[in-house]
Amino acid sequence: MLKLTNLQKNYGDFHLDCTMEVRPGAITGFIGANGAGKSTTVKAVLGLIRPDGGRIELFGRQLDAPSPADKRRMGVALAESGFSGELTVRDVEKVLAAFYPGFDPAFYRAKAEALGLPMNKKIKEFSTGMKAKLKVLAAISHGAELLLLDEPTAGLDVLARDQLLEMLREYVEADERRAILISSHISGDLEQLCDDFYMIDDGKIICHEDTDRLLSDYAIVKVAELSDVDLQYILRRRRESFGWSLLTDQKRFYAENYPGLVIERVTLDEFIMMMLKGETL
Amino acid sequence: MKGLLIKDLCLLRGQKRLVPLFLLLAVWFTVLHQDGFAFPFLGMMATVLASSTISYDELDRGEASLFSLPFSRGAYVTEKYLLTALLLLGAIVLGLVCTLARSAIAHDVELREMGGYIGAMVAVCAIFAGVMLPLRIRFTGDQGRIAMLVLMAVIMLVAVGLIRLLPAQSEAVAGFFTGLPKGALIAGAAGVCVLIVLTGYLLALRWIKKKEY
Repeated sequence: MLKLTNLQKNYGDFHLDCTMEVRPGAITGFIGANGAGKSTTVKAVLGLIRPDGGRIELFGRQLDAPSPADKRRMGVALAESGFSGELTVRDVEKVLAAFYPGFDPAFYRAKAEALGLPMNKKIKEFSTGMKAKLKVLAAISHGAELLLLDEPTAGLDVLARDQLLEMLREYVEADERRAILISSHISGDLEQLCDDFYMIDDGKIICHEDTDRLLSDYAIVKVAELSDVDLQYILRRRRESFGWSLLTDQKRFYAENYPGLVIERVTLDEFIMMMLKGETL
Repeated sequence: MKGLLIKDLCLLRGQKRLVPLFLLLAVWFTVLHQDGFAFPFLGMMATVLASSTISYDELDRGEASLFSLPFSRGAYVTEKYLLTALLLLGAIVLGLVCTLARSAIAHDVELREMGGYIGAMVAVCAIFAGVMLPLRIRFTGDQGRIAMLVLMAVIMLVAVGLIRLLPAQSEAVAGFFTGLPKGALIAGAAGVCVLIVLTGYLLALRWIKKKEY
């Protein structure tokens, strides 16, 4: 559905070089620190910035920037950018109805009510969370095949996040061709939602993994000395007060060969910390 | 295009507090019998209102979200020109209503002059919009307003400078234009307006394609 091959963009010292794929029916997470290149990648796909190199394939076609017809098949929620604060939720409905033939006003109104979004209040009077909800609502209310969501849960409380993530889950389940690329700094959201994820650091994709595999095969092995274990399946190490935390993608190997060691299930948060802050061997 | 127009009209609805002011000014000019000033003034206000929607689009980095909607960058520029034309039409209607009202009450309006007033209004606004819209699209936020002011200042300085430094030649040029037949003068002015609007439109198209959000 979306394939990026060595997508490049240079801003001074920052160099983006991104290769990734979002498959139909999949929810793909995009994780990385602020400034790692997530938003730049999304903006390049949307044609908001001009890539300096590489290839973008969208809906099976290679393109420089998506056409209006391509954009009608996409739903977008961008971080730090939304509808004009002078508009109301009802105004946004009129605008979306004019732009998208597949816009579903009944769905939009019902979800706006469920999300607690008043129809006639100006967006500039909304809280950060309400603005975030409106952006996602606008993205999912016209039957888009591909959702590009950049930090859609930013500013939401736990309950609202859960509500929104459930909506996204339902959205993909309603049609097997639908796909989502979602970036978030709240890794718990991605852990619950995503089928796979890409991790980006300083403009480079440093990891692509299925979420199921992360949760089943990855682990943190805790040792006093590095010489305590075979290091051939260790991806990252980090110094701790007790010795070393070691990230592996071969949990079974260490569980079977070192039954006395502490081997902990890795969460996405720990995985991110180890990948970004840990040392390579 | 339709979606952009709806968005802009919704944005302008937020400025409805200005409508009574415009009506008041229109009525005031009519009472004072300043039709020649009222038409261009209303037109300029309409043009400024249309360009203010660009500021609303830029507010809180909203352009990135806006340009993620399904329209081309060229359609955005075209819509701004179309909106300006629509608001200008509204200003003409308002000006005409006021003038006709005065004509009906005071019977002292030369209705044949209305064509001249409207023509002058369209010409002034076309030149204003033809310069302002591309600059607002080229430069973001305050930069656009500064660029517009700088350009206006340069034009004024050049014009005043030429008149002061070359008075004889300036008078000759003015004499040449006043000596032209009315039809030729109108056609020439219309041609200059079209040229300015068209050049501005093409420049805006070129500049917006280079913008990054």
